[in-house]
Amino acid sequence: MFDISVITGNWAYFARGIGMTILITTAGMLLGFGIGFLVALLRTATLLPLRIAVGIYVEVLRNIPFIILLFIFFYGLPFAGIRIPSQVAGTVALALFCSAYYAEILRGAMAAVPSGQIEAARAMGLTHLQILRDIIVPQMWKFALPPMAGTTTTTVKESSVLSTIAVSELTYQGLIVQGMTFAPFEVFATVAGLYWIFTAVLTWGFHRAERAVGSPEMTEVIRSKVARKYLSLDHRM
Amino acid sequence: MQFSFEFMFATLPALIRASGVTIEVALLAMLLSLSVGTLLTIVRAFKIAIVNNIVGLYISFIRGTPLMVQIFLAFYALPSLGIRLGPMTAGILAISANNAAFMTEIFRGALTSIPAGQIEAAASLGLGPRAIWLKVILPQLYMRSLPAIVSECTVVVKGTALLAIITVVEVFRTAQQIGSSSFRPFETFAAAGLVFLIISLVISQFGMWLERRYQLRRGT
Amino acid sequence: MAAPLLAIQGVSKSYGRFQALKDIDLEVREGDVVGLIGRSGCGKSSLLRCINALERIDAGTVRLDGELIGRVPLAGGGARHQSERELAKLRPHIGFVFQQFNLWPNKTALDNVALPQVRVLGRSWQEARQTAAEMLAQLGLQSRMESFPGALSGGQQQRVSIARALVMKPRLMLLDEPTSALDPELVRDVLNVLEDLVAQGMTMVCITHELGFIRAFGTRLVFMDDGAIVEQGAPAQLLTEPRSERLQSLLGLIAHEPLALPS
Repeated sequence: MFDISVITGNWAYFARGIGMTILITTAGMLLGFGIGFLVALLRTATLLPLRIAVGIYVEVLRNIPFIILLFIFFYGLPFAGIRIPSQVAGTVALALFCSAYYAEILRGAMAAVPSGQIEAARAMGLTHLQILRDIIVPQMWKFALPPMAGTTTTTVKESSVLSTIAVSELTYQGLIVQGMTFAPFEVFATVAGLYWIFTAVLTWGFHRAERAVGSPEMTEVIRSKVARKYLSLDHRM
Repeated sequence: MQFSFEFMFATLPALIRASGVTIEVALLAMLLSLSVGTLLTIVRAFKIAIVNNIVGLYISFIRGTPLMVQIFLAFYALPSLGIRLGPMTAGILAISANNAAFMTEIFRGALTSIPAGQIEAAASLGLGPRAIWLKVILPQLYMRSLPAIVSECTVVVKGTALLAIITVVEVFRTAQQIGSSSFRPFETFAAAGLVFLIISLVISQFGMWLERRYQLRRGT
Repeated sequence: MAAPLLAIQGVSKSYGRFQALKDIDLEVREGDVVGLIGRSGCGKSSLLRCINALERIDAGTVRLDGELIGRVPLAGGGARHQSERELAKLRPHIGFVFQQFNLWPNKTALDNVALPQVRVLGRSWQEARQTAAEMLAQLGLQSRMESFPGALSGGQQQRVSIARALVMKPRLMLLDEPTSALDPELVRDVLNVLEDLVAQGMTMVCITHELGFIRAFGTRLVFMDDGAIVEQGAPAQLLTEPRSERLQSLLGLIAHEPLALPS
C-alpha cells in the first residue's frame, strides 16, 4: 500500500528541501527576532507618532495571511526597482511576519520584569538605556522563551508557503516529487513527517532553554478526586 | 510603474464579493472544529489510555505540521485512499481538522480553570455525569475559552487564503486572477490584505462585544 | 541659620480624582533625622516618592540644596517636568531605600552595589567592586558579598540595598518603611545600620512604624493624615503629648506593640 521506493528513490529532493527549510527558517527567525526587538523598544519611545506607526506595523502583520504578505512583498519589490532571488525575498517576508509576533512577546516580557527593580534603578540615577541593558534584557528571557517557542514553530510551518513562489524548500520539493511519481500520499506523509520531526526538535530545545533560564512551569494539579474525574484530561494522573 | 491607489480601491468590490466564500468556509470550519473539539475533550476526560494517546498524537501532528501540507493531504492524498473530495470540501475538512486540535487544547486549559468546588457541589447534590457535563462544565468551558476562541477565529480566516492553492475561489485567488490579468499585482494584493484586515477588525470587535455582554473580564 | 537641605513648598499631587498630597510644606536641614508617620493611605509614601521625582507633582516645588527637582515652574505661569535624563543627574544625591528592597536578582550583592557606581559615577568595575566590598563589610555583610539576593535573608537584602544607596554618597536618604517587610528578629540588624548612619550625621527622612527608633534618634517627628501634615515637632514630646485627636488615635493603635526602645 505504502510505496516506500517513492521516498527512498527520491531522497535527494527531500534532503535538499529540509535543508533549505532549516536554512530559511533559521535566517528568518534570527532576522525577525532582531527586528522584533527593535520594534519592542520603539514601542516604549517617547514620540507618539513613532509608537503609533509601530503599533500599526504589528497589527497589520499579525492580521493578514502570510501568503498575502509574501505576495505583496514579492510583487512590490520590482516596483521599487529591487530584484532579488525569491529565496531571499521569501526569507525577508518570513522575517517581517514573525517580527510582529516577537515584538509583542518581547513587549510583554519586558513589562513582566518587576517594576520595583526598575524604580530602584531610576532612583539611583540610571538612564533608560542602562536600565534596559542591565536589568530588563537579562531578566526578560524567562518570560519570553515560552511564547517564543510557539512563534518559532509557527514560523517553520509558515515557511511552507514559500513553495508558492517556487523556493526549493521542503513543500516545493514534495510537489516536484509528487509531480514525478504521482504518489501524493507517500510524498506528503513524508513531508509532514519531516516537518513534525523538525518542530519536535525545536520545541524540545526551547524546553531545555526554558528550564535553564528559570521559566515558570505550567503544571496544574487538581486535588479533589471527584473534580479530577471531569476536569483533568491527563490519563496518567 | 507607479503605485495606483485608484486601482487598489477599484478592485475592492470584487474582493469583498469573494470574501463571502472566505467567511462561509471560516464559519463552517469554526462550527465543525468547535463540535469536534468538544467531543474530543469529553472523550479525553474518560482517560482511556489508548484513546488519549491517539488523540495526543493527532494534536501533536496537527500542531507540528504546516496547514498547507495538511490541505494537500486532504485534497491530493485522500483520493489515493479512495476518498475523493472537491476543493471546497477538502479545504473545509483540512481547516476543521486543523482547528479542532487547537480547540481541544484551548478547552483543556479552560477546563482546569473551572473551580473544583463546583464539581464537588454538583456531585454532592447527586447530579450524574451527563448533567454535570451539560449543565456545569460545558457552559463555563465556552465562556472561559471565549477570548481564545475569538483569536482562533482570526487564524482560521487567515488559513482560508491557502485554499486558493487548491483552486477555491476566495479572496486571495480572486486577487491573483485580477492581479495577473491587469498586470497590477501589487495593488491587488494590497487590497486583498486590506480586506483581511477589515474582517479581522470585525471579528475582534465582535469578540469584545461578546466579552462585555457576558462580563468575561476579570473583576466585573 | 543655614539654608535647608531639602525644601518642599506647596506640593500637591492627585491620582485621578483622589488627592494624595494637599499643599505640603516641609523643610529638612542638614543632619535632621525626620520620622514620618501616619496611617496607610495618608500620603507619606507619595510624598517620599515625589521628593526624588519617581512620581510627578501637580503643584509646588521640591528643592535639594536650592536646586529644583522634578517640577520646574515657568515664567509664564505653567510648569514643565524634568526629563528622566535630567533627573538621572540629580537622583544620585538622594538615596532611596524601598520597603521591598528591590535588589536586582540577576546580580550578586557585590554587583548590586557596584553597578550604580559603574553606570552613574563612571568608575571602573574594579574600583566599584572594591568600594562596594568595603561598604558591605562596614554593614556586616562581608561573608555574603558573592551571594545572589535570592539567597539572602530580608534583613541582609535590606542592608545591601542601604549599602547600594550609600555608596553613591548621597546628601539625603529617603527610607520608605525599611523594616516593615522584615521578620521581627531581622529588624534589629537594619535598625543598627540606621543608627550608625545617624551617628555619622546623615540627613534622613524615614517612614516607619518603629517609634522607639524615632524617639531615640529622630530630631523631628512629622505626622501626616489625609494628604496633609497635621503635627510636627520633637519626637519625645509628640509621642507623649500628641495634640491632635488623629495622632492620639494612631498612637493608640501602634502602642499595642511594645515600643522597641534601644537598651
